[in-house]
Amino acid sequence: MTTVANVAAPSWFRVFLAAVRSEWLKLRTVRSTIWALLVTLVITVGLGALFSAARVSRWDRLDPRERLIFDPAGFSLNGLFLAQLAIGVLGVLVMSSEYATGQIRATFGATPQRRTVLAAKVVVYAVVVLVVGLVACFAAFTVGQAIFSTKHAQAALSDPGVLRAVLGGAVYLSLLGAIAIGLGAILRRTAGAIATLVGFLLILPILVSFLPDPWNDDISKYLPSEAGAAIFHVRPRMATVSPGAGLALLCAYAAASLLIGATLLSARDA
Amino acid sequence: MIEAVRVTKRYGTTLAVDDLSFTVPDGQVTGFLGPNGAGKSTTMRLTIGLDAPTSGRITINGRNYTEMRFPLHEVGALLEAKAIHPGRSARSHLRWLAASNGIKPSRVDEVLERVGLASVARRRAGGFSLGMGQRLGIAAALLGDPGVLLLDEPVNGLDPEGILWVRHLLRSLAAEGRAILVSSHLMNEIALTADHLVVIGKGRLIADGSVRDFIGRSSTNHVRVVTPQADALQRLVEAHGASVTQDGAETLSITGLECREVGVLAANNAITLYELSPQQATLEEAFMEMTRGSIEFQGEAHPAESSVS
Repeated sequence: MTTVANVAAPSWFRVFLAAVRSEWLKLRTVRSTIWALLVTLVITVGLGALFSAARVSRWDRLDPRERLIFDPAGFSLNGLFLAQLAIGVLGVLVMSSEYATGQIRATFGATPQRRTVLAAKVVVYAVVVLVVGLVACFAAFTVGQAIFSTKHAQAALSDPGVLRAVLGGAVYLSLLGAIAIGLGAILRRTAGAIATLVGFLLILPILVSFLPDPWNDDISKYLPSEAGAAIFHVRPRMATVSPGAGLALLCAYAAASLLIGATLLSARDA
Repeated sequence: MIEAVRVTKRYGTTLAVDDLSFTVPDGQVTGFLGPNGAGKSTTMRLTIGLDAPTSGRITINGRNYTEMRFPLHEVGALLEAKAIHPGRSARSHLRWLAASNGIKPSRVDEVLERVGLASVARRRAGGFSLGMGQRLGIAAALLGDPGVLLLDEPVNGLDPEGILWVRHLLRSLAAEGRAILVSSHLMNEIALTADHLVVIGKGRLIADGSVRDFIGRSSTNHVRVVTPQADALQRLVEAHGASVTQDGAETLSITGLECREVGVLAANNAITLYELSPQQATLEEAFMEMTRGSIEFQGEAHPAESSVS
């Protein structure tokens, strides 16, 4: 039995490091993590290759102007549009599965500093997603360019903006993971948080596109999915913000989601 | 030591805990009793900071739980068995808990051994029986070798061997000087395990004291007498303020007088006694009597009537 008076209280940083170690153990000891990350990898590379092959097969029939604005780097990363859902769902589960199983009581019982727990979850998940995202994006880029090279339309990493776009794909996934954890903390229910996430990423852009000009473009470029597209494309598509602004926007979304989540976690009963 | 001082917890319009004060001393097992919905689990949640009290405070060794860093070294809690991710193994579950409080991984194997789960440590917890889940919960509570333990219904779902094991475990942990708060709906189990009782009903304190005192206050304590002169004895003791029920031609149950007094009265009046014995209420009877007015959910037959002999 520990004699309390003799134990010096650990510093905030030790509590945080212990929480990070704990969250890392949690993340790697459930199967859904392995599955979601594997799916991310397969979809990013596989779907990217499929889209690229389809584009190459129609290459000779493309309008010369279309060939001119073709973005081979960005195009090879198109699988991210689906892969982002796997990362988002797993991010929501990082938080909501604890509420669903009741394990959150063990978590907050062990670490009553709830915002520290949230910070540890975000750091662990964002880093894991960044690593997986880097592997996936570089692989998708490499495979895509090999396909485009049959028409001599490939990009090289040394071309302007290409490295930024490939790295950007991984950063986008990582920030999206952080947004999803925040949503999980805010809503606590898996279904609700996933529905909200899908709404933001896929449904809101469609709804906005039905707005009259010029509101549709003015609004849609600030949505998370369009901000992300600005980061991992080399040639900005119509009505997107600059890559830097896209990154700043996504960081702002993540910060908002996590700040609201942290505030609610501290204020509510577990 | 756990100290609750005028704690109140309100959920919306429901008053779950109402101005509750009690103490859980070191070196003893304190039984935490109350009918369903009395606020036992809420009180335990408040103690480890999962819920915040509306007013008042609960401290452990003088501090709020939420102020503690690495609290598992000071407090172990089992609030709900199987509140764990079903896909994780027992060992992985304890590993992350240990890591969160800087506890070395070798301690995980120690506690798994202690609760008898070493052989299933690598199995997914989702396949565990309720009893195995309880053992895992107890292992988690013991992880940081804490001086204070809170256990909500720890024997729920355990087989007789497991119940006996928990009883011995709690006794030996208390003997080491730890403060233990344990709730259970198994009154006989609490009577055998606890030294001290905290009884609540509808969120309010009903009793805080030793098990002996609690049972001693029950009106179901009585003196049983077998005598051929039942009518004469009945008139005699009633004249001395006792109340009597006749349980057959020669048997009387007397409340309000001690054995010694009944014996002296009988001797002075030349009444023959075949048997004179004190009948102590069980903890269950004492509990039913005390909580009669504070039962939240009640069946048609009054529970107190069906079980008081």
